[in-house]
Amino acid sequence: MSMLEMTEREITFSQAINEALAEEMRRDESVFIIGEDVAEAGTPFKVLSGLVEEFGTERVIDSPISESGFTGIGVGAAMTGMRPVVDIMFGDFMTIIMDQIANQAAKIHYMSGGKLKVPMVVRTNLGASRRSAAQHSQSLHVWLSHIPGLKVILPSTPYDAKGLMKTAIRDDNPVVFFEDKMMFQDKGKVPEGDYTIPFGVADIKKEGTDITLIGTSSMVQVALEAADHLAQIGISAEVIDPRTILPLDKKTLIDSAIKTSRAIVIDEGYASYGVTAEIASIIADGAFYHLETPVKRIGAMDVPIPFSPVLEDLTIPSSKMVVNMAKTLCGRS
Amino acid sequence: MATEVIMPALSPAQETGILIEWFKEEGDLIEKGEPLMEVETDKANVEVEATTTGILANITVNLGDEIPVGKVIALILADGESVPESKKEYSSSETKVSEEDTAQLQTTISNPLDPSANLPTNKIVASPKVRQYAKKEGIDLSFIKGSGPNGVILMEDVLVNQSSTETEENDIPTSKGWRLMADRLTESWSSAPHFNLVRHLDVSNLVTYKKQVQEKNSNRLTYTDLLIKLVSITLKEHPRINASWIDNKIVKNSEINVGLAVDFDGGLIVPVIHKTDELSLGEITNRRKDLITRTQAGKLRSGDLDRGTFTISNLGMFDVDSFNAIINPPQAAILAVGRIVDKVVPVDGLPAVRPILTLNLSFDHRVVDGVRGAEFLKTLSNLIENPLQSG
Repeated sequence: MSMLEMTEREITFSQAINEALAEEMRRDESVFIIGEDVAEAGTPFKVLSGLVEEFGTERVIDSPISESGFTGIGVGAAMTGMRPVVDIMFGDFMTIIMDQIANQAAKIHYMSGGKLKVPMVVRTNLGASRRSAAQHSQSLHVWLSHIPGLKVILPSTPYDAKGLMKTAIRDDNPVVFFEDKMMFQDKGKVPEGDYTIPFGVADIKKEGTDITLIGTSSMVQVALEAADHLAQIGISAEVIDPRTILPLDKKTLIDSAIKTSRAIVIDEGYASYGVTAEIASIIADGAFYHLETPVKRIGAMDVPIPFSPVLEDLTIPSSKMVVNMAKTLCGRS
Repeated sequence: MATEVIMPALSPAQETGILIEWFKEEGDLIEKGEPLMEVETDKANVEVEATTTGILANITVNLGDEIPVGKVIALILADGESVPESKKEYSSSETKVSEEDTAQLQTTISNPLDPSANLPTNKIVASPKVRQYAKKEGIDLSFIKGSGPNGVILMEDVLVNQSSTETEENDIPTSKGWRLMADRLTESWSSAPHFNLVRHLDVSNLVTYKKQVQEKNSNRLTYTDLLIKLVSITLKEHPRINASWIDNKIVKNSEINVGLAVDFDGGLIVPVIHKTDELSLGEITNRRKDLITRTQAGKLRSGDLDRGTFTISNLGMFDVDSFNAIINPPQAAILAVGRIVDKVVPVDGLPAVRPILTLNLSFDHRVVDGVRGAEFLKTLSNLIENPLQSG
């Protein structure tokens, strides 16, 4: 495609996902979608609208409310040559499909000595601030990141979402794809037609020299907002989006921290034992002799996400928190 | 067990103390609560009492030594106890890091917002980057003062220290700010051709005006505030003075931002009040007060030192009559203010006693010549002698 197409067209995050799925389903007949409310309703977030009309109910399948059941169908279908996209309506329901994912999907390639593969994508979401209370607001992506055999994808822009979804569908092993519920309407430039983004390649969203801000999923936007504020007071922040946390592009993270001597890791999962802990540890290890300050982490407060909007907003990382921490680290508070 | 006598922290920011006097000698019995030693801090001299009863022993420092806070300087032994062997090994400069200390360090570092809160102050605390660099370059960090939170040594501190020449015995240690001042004023003095204009002013009306305004205000008004106001009015009328010599051109400054020469930590610093021509006298007083307080507390914000277009330096409080000030580049002028002193002057042909203020203006001749400078000084003098005209 030409550069003109690349720069001109803006679509939403939700449209980018929809486009990636539609293009892959046209390209490869083995790709199908299964999940609750995926066909007639196009999911509660309307991400899949129009797909059942084009591909029919044989390839966009409304399942009963039984996440472990239809995820098991996905694992079996994948083992026998299909490429299922299993739709888990809320990331919180990971609890129910954990055995299919962690004990079956992640293990089969290894335990069968490579004779069987599970080329399955689990599409689900994370993120609070939708006033959906404690059982529909969690960011549990770290659970999956703990399991060898899985890949965990956290796109932060429409462009990344489309390219990474295509890579996920074409991957021969199970991939869990987390989208932030609050990003579906975010717009961005997305090329028409086919392109893929490799896993394990971080993206420097903004270059800077004084401090590295590593954000995942919607926290990339929080980091960019913080970087704008910091620029106004003369602190140049570099914003890095790992894009996939399993595999993780350690080199880009470490190189940036070596360059700036300071780093803050921001992720919407719980701080304790979280994604931020893993990334901070990798940076502390790889960049230790180049650091001026301890590597800092900002994650969700370690509480059930409150329903009260006022309280809910306090539990998740904000750009203000990032700015204040960055100022402290740069000796500017 | 022997009780350690340490150099106490008598104020939150204190890093070292000077031992002035021992009230007891080694071998003397001292009772808990009795004065043990006198310590000089940057703020005051303080008597320190013994924390326990026993025999004073193993004094490891000399009178007059500057001692880091937290350092063990003596022991108080219980009855029949002798100095433990391990303690005897302590030399005056040695610090030991035990496993327990390291653990404490790690615990504190995990504190979410202040990475260095409550770090032990008697050991070298430096960032990993600094440690690696110091090892490579063979730098002794114990001589470097850290500028990070709670004195953590950061790369900037090492680089500044390296750029300064070797310290000889008689050298007075200079801060980064001091060296910056030295550079800037040398640059000004050697590049800007200075000339000075001096006037003695009868400030009877100003004194009265100040009293009148003060009666209506709760915040204490100073002559500096009045001068900032009057200088700003004058600068507006004489934009040529509110200008700079840049790249062989005279460039007018769009804002009027008056800087004040302030003594901070033993050196000159010039914080700026911005757009003073748009501020009322009351607003100037508030800004000046806030700015000076923050300057002296070391809490200047970014921008506080930037974009000054004119500077006022007042040494009247030190009973100076008049002085020649060096221009603060790239500004074109600086006003040196002396004290107000009663003098006998002729009034209507008769001797009279009047409060007299001497103004001494330094100008950069590349921007301002004698006549333009004199015109500026004339307007300013008229305003000072008749402050009611200022509105």
